[in-house]
Formats: sequence, structure tokens, C-alpha cells
Amino acid sequence: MNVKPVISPQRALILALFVSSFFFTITAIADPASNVSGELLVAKEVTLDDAPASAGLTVLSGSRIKTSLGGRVTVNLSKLGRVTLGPDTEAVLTFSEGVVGGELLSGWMVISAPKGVRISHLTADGAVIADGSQSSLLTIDVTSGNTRVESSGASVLSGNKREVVVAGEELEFSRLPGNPSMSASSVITRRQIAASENGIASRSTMGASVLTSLLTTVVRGAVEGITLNHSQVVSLDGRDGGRTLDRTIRQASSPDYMRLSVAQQQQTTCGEFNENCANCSVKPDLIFARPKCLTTFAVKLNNVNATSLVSVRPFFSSACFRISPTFPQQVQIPPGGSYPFQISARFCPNNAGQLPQNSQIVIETSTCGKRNVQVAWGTPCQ
Amino acid sequence: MIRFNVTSPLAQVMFALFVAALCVALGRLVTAQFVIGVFNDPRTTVTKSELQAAAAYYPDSSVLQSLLAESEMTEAADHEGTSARAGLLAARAVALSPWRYDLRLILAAAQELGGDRAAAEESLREAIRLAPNNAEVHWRLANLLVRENKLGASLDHFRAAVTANPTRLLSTFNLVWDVSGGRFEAVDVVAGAKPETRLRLAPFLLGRERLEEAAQVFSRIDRQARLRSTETANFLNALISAGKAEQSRRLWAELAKEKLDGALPLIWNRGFEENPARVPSGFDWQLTSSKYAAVAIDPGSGRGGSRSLRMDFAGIDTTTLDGEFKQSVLVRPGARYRLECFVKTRDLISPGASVATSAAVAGATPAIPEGLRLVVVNSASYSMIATTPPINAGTSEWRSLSVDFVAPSDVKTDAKMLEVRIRRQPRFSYDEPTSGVIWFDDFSLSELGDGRK
Repeated sequence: MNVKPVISPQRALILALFVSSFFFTITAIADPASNVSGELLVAKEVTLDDAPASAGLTVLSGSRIKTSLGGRVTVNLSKLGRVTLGPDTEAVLTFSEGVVGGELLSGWMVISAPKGVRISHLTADGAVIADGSQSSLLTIDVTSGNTRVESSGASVLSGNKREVVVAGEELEFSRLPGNPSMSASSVITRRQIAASENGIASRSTMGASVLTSLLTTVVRGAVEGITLNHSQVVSLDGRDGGRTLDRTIRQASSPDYMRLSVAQQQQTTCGEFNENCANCSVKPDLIFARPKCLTTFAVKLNNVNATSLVSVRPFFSSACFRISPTFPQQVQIPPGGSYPFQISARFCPNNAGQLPQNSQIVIETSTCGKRNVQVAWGTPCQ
Repeated sequence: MIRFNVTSPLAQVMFALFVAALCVALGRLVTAQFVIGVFNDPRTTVTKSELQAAAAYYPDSSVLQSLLAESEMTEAADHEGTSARAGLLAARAVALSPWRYDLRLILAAAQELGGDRAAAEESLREAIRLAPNNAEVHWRLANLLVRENKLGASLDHFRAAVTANPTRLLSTFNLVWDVSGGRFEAVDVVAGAKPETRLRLAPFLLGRERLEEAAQVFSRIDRQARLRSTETANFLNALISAGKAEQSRRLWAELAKEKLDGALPLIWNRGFEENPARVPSGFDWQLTSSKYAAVAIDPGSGRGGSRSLRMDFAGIDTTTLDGEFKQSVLVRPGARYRLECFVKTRDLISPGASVATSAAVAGATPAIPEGLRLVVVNSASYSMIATTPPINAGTSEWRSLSVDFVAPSDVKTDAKMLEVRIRRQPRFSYDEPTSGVIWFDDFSLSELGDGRK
């Protein structure tokens, strides 16, 4: 029997395509977890949507990530790249197929994305955009109050201005005071930056000094192993004792190292004969701290007639406390001014004062040299 | 004892060479272990170039290869290059030590970074095969499955992970809730059967405004576990804040008393015959001594039973009392109630006691009560709803003290929560000391009907 088809093959094909596209649309709507989601590759002192988060946790688009003073986080976005947030940073991350976006609310972040992924990140001062025509490595820093961007090929949109960030340049932009709207005019400044020290040893260096490097590292590591505060060694993942992906907090690749440094051309350095800082001195002479506590001290420079860039760090890298803001702070202290730093001794044992690695901090200034200051430890906070 | 007699010079040389070679081999082994151990020590800080140098010197160390892979993954650099290098290094580490599950976690992360989630899942499944009870592996796999849209398959792994490490509960609940579109069943599976995890599920549901399910989860947790947990009081308070005061009181009463007969009394422990409940709650008597008066249960001077509540005044001028004993009560909005108790006094001297007049008008705010009295206040605003007459001075046997009031009807919750408390407010900045003793017993709160009639 000759059966006539109800619909033609062409129509059937169109109908099938329509039905399948409808089905896929419905599936995508019904399943809130689309394929675009990330993973916390590294998670140290971080909260995700206000809940404590550990490495391995899935990050959904629209999540709010916040790190504490000693925290850091790297989000693995699979094909979309990676996002690293520095200490004391808060950001909302959004992502979908081919786009990484969001808003940086405080602190600094580094976005690394392959070719074909567009980046569109907001700050209070405007937007930082990369069109994805090439792979992107983008550093956005709002710690100074303004937005500073380092990249190659990214654009900055602020107010009614659009500027392209060139490699080897840092671009700083801010809205003019009294113009809260995004459409208001803004100030964009370009600065040359020093060549990145964020480096891997060159192959020739590697070949020549493998043994020397190994020897120095092992000796240093062994000494650190003896002098370190062992009470600090806690697995990031708590009781599991599981291995984390954050064992290599390396100086060269750590987020602190990636952070943009303060513009070099503004520095005034004092030589021996610089009249701006004859007989200068760095204060305080002694700093008081208490285990389990946050204590504040003010750094002041006497007899300095120029603005100084000041950084503070523990003398020993194995010290139980942290300095906040995080090193290298490079805060600017005008003549006669001071700047408050904090010693966060939250993780210090009660006998922190008896451990030599907790005994000193180093104050580095651009005008009055470097000074080691003794830390005096008081009774622990309850 | 075995003795070797090596007399031939050639044999002696051979033996010496053998021993030397053995020493060199052992020395190299010990050195390698030491060097790799130092690099692998999480307390030491090592630069990437140092790590590369070490990996070049010991290319067959899976530890160094994996450390280098991690370093590549966390480095802020060209994404394609670092992810490809990380994948190769991690794969090499796994090939060198195929029985180490932890290296497979790094390999999985590197594979996912390179965009290959299927391969990452395979690596994690192999890690689970090697370490089936390791919570970290379950955690990683569960999260990966979520990212692969396999929520159903991830739930058991999540449960295994959070049971071992409850600090991950909140973030897991958040994730599963969001991904599942707010499905109670999904978070219920993750919480498992352990009371500790279910005690965290109940407040989570409360936070998501799933009040009925929260109360249901809580009520089904083992009673002893609820009594032990510090979360219990927080949950009951949160339930009150969410407008479920009646449910909170019922759940608390089930903990306070093992067997409840019928409806709950409006005033809990009216004659002070029961010991304070193990779970602190505003629905029980809350006793607080102050510098003006010591408050305690007196075991030997009850009116009906053996116990009563005793207040010993310290004889301090300008005595001020507000809530030295108190209890939250639930009333029906708009209904008329009578609060009654019995009072006994001994040598009570208190300014304002003898000049006091009659009970306050229900619903109206009385003038500042100078004498000692019981008041009914709104438990949120502490505004006064009713007050008893002042307690008479001197010495007396048990006498009734009561007040009628209408429960406010401007409510948003299922039941209006009020508070019965002791109060004395001096009229001036100084008044005469209050001294003596008062006993309270046999409290009752009874509904008299509709307040509008």
C-alpha cells in the first residue's frame, strides 16, 4: 500500500530542529547548573556567598567571593581561564560561555583567559574590557581607591572615555569627585611600569646553577623547618588532612607578587647627602603585640621633608603574625604624617614572644632606609 | 655469626668498591629524600625557579613534578601555556607514582583547567578507587559532578565529604540548594542521618524560609543530640525571629519535658517545682540576681508544692528591678487574659508599696510604677501592656496578685509573644532602700475570652 507521508521530509527536518532546539532550551532553563561553573583551585581564608569555602568547591556565576587579610583564592574556570583574588579582596564573579565578568569591590585580582574569551569587569570607577581577540592577562587593583589596570590590549571605559592599556604600561583611572554617575567625566593616567619580575629562571640560569639553587633552597628550607612555628601548620581543609593544591605558595608566583606596585616615578629617594632627609629616623622604636589579637601601630618618619613610600614586613618569613596591609604595601607617608599598620597575631601561640622568628619586623622606606624594630609580646587575648 | 674471609687482593678491592658504591647509592637516596622532603614541606617557601631546578635535578620525583604542576596552575600567566604544562607535569607525576591518590587530584584539577572535565572525572574516579574513604577525594568528585550537571550522582559523595568535615556543610548546602533550584530532598540527602549534620540543616532551611521543613527536620533529630547541641538554642531563637514562636515553644517543651500531656500550659513551671530545662529558653523562668536583689528557687517554702521563687533585697537605695525573673508567654491576639500569682512577704520595705492603688487598665500604659510589681510587656519592644498592683509592704502570708489584660492584636506572627517580668522603677533619682524578702508561687495565665466583649 502506498502511504503518503503526512509531512514532507524537509518539513520534518525543520520540525525536528525546532523541537530539539526547544528541548535544549527547556533543559538549559530547568537545569540551573549550566556547564559554566568554576572551581576554587586555591582557597585560603575565603568565603563564598558569606559561607566559609575550601579548595575544590564549585563556584557558580554571580557568586560573591571575599578573602580576608591573609587570604587568597584562585578560581579555575576551565576553558574560560583563571581568576586570582589577593588578600582582603571582595569581588562578584559572573561568567557564561565565552565571557568572564563581574565586579571588583575591593582589593585586587588577576584574570587569565585564553583567546576567544571576553572579559568585562566593573569597578567603582568604570569598566575594564578585553575583547578576546588574544589571550588575556589582566591585573585590576582598587586598593589605592582608584582603579589601576595592567594588561596588554585591554580597554578601560570610565565616564565618557575609552583608553587601551598597552603592554608595559599601567593605567590608572578614577571618577572626578562629586560625579558619582558612571557617565560623568573621569581622569585616566598612564604610567610606565618596570619589567615584570614575576619570572621563571631562565633556562641558562637553570642549567648553570641547578646545584647552587638546590643547595641554598635546601639549607634555607632546613633552617626554616627548625625555626618555624609548627603550631601554624594546619591543613587548609581542616580535619581531613587532605592534600590541598596550595602547597606551593611561592614568592614569585604568589598573588602578593602579582599585585601592582606603586608608581615608581613618584618616589623620592634620599642618598647620604639628600637634604630632604638629613638626620632622619623611623618610628616606632618598639612595637607591642598580643597573641590572638589585632594590634595597631603607627609608622612615622622624623626629619623627612619628602613623601616616603613605606613597606612593613615580619623580619622572618616564618613569623606567626601578619602585617596588614599586606606587604609590599608601599604606602605613601607625607612629611610629618604617619600611617597605621596592624599586626594580626590571630594564629600566634600564647608563647609567641619566646619564639625568635616573631621578634622583629622590618620597616623599609624610600627615604630613610630600612630599620628593624623589635616586637614586644604581651599577654594573649582571650 | 657469618664471617667472610677475603684474602685475595682482587676480592678485597672488589669488596671495597662494592661497599663504596653502596654508600654512594645510599647517600644519593638519603640526599634525594631530604631535598624532596624540604621542597614538599608546606612550611617552607620556595620560588618557582628553585622548584624547576629541583625537578630538573630529580626528574623522576613525582612529588616535585606535582609541585611544579600546582605552581603552573596557580601562576598568573598565559592560560593556555600554563594549563598545558600543568597537565603534562601532573600526568608525569601520576605515571611516576600511579598508586598515589593525591596526585590524581592534581591531575584532575589540571585536566579541568585545560577544559577536559570528562578526563578529570576519570582521574577522580581512579582516586576514589585508590582511596575509597578519603573525604577530600569525595569532595573533589562531588563538586566536579556538579560542574558536569550530574547533581544526582554528586549527592552521595557530598554526604561522605561533609560527614567527615562538617566545616564544609554550609557551603555545600548553599551550592546544592542553588544548583537544585531549592529542592529540600537534595540537601536532605547531603545532610545524611547524623544528628550533627541534621542540626545544621535545620537552621539552613530556616535561613531559606522553609520553616515547616526546618521544624520537621529539627523535631526528628534524636532528642539527646538536640539537648547536647549548642545549635539547638540558636535554632529555637531563630524560629521565633522567623515568626514561628508557637512552634519554637512546642519544640523547646519537647526537649524540656520528655513526656508532654496534651496542650502546653500558658505559663511554664508555674510552681517552680521542676528544675530549669537543659536548653535555655525564654519560655522557661529566667532568673538573674542583681546588686539590688538575689533571686533563687527556695526549696522549702512553696504554697502548693514544695518550692517557690524567693527574692532577697539587699537594702540598697533607689532599687531598680527589671526582669530579674521573667518568662515569655504566648497569647492569642485580641483575647482577654488574667495573670495571677501568689505572693508572701517578710519585713518588706519598699518605697511606693503602700501608696499603690489598683490594677492598671488593660491595654493602656499605666503611669510609672514606683512599687514592686509584676508587669506584662511586649517581648520585642518591652512596652508595657499591663501591670499588677504594687506588692504590699510588711509581712504577710500568701496573697493573690493578679491583673487582667487584652493581648494586642496588631500582630504579624502566628501568636503574640509577651513577657511576664518583675519590675520596679524609682520615681526620682533617689529613693529609700528596699529591703526584706518576697516569695512568688503558683503563677497562672488564663484566657478569659474575646477582649472586645
